[in-house]
Amino acid sequence: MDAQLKKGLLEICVLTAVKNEESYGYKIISDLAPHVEISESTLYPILRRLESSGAVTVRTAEYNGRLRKYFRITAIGKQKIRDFIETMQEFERISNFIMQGE
Amino acid sequence: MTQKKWERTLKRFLSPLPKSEQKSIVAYYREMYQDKLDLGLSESEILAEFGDPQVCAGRMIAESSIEQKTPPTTTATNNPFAQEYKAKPIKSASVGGTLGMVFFTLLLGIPVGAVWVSVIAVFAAVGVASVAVGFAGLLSPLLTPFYSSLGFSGVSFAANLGLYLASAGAGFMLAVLFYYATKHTVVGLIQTVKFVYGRYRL
Repeated sequence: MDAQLKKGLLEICVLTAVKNEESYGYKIISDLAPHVEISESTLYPILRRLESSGAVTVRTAEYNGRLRKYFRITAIGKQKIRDFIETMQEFERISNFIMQGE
Repeated sequence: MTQKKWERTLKRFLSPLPKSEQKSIVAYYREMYQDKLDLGLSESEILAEFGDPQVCAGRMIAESSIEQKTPPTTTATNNPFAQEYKAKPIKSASVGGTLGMVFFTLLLGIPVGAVWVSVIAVFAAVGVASVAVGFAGLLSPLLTPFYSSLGFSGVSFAANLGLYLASAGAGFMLAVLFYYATKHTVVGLIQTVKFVYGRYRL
């Protein structure tokens, strides 16, 4: 798959993983594992980008005597998911047209 | 490799990044390591999943520089597939810039341009002239009676014919060569003028 396309997809995947409840690094990777493979070094920059664009907020909390970062989706993040779904519907329409020609 | 050594190597290769960013990345991997340990994975298994710390650090640095070049998307464009094309800001004209462009044109642009065009024109003219000579010579069979009356023998006529053919051929090649040289020069000149004047809107 095209690298840029995959990057965009993974961002939305990560947002989806934190859509219903806040989550943390390892849990995001394992929740996404059945659908898409994402490595630790791939996830970190995505979380940073989502945070700097306001799509997620971060809080640090104690867990088992150590610190853990929890990520929670924002209104901006939810809008990003909606925009993506809209894009995918258009994409599907166009790809049907392309495949009809095959 | 132990986790401590992995982390030390990671830190070493993260050094180009700001201290706060380095701390954040190290904390991230430490948290990830602990979570996997809690799930029962061994140290070597976890580090194998992480991969080479130098490679990890390289990826972090690469992504960090991309993030700095493209500012975070605003709520206006939430399409993750949208390419952010930002128009290049046009520098406003300054007095110095304007004067500089005037001098560039007068002192350098016009003289150099005129010389180069003249050189090309000379070669093109030589090329055209050679073609003319060649064709004149090739037409000469029609004038054979005329030649004979002037006293040219058959052998020397054949030699002349060879020379005329060569002249026509060379002339033709020269003319073609310098047609392209002129074309590319003009195109290049237009692009240079666009670039130079485009950056300093007069």
